[in-house]
Amino acid sequence: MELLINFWEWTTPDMMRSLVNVLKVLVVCSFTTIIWALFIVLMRISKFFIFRWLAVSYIELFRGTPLIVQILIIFNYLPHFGIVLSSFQAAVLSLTLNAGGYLAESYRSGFQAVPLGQKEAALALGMSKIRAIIRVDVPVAFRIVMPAIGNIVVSILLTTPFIYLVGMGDLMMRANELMRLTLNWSVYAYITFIYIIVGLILTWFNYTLEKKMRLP
Amino acid sequence: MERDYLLEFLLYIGTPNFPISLVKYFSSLPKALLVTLEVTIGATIIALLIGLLLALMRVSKSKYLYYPAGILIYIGRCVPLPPLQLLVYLSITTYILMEPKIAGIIAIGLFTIPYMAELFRSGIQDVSIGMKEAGMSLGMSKWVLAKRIIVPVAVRTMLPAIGQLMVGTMINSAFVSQIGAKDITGMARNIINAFFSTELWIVVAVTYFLIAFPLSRALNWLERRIAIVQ
Repeated sequence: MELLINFWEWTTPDMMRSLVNVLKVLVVCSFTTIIWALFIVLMRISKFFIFRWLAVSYIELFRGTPLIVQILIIFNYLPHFGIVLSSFQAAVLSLTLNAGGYLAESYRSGFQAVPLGQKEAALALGMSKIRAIIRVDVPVAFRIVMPAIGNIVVSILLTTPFIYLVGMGDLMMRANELMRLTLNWSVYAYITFIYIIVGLILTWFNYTLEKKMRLP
Repeated sequence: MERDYLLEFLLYIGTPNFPISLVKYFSSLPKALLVTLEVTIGATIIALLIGLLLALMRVSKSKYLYYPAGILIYIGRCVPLPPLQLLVYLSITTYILMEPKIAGIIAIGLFTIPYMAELFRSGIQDVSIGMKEAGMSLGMSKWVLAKRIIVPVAVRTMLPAIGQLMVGTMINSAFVSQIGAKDITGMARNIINAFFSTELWIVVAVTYFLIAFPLSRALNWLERRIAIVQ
């Protein structure tokens, strides 16, 4: 009961502003990840060895290192080379690079699931290879990988608390400030509660979309 | 005057303190690596036990068991690690004194439970119906069927996936440094804060990669090796 009263007290305009910040990063990141992963997977399935090798090493590199280390490299080490990013840019860049590797793998299984006959039909109609990829492969694969995109949006949501490391005014950073001021740990329960609600909404949305977009 | 090319290179890629912080890093690496492994294994054991329980509830026939388990799994998959870890650590240390490492084990274990439960569930349900029916028609009871057919087949399909999840847990365990545990990241952060040598983060990333990459490749090989053609 005390916890619930605390929850009501934590709901301030400041907290809502930080929630909006989190959602901003989530939306921007989702779009950039979808495009970036498409770029990676096109490299991954290309015929040239060097592109394939680059894509594979990118995917393995970003899946094999902790997100917290990636964020700290991007925000603390890149300025060494004169690349100074604002906290929003650093947050979006790090989350995109991290999630792109995961999504590229899902895309790849989607591309492999495209029926070969459709592509051959497109080629037989005289489409160039790139046009066949854009007109046939991508739309069909998009419907196949739709659930994967939904899942990646939820998992980006789960990684957004990490961006307090770069000083975005997000929920986690606000919670840390309040923890220092009030020494009351229930603020973290409140943050977790908000994340659960947003995550469940996204999961439900993902589920309905998946049902609608299923291939006949 | 003779030019020291090594020193020039090191100064180009880093601050003057980089060589000495590198020495410090590698001298304290074994101890930190041990902490990382402890957190990984402890968290995996917690996730295995409770995940198996949740998965068994999820595949049971009673609706009083599978609805609560399903709701718990759905909620658990929306819980992010950073607030959960601080919540666990602070709420426990309010009442009992506890090492940050132990709190990290509990938090990461809790974080991994839903994923482990889903893995178990898919492993149990993927055992083909034909095999189960064959067992039943031979007159096996439910327990014998579970012991002789479901468990061996499910374990074989699940083992590589559990290994991959364990590699993922190791990657996630870097976050326990934020509550003060001295794992690889925490140790490196202390060195970096002392020597202002941010390029050490690259070395940290390489360390994690050198552990995670061979493991995940070996697990891929194992998966292909012991795959059951159903």
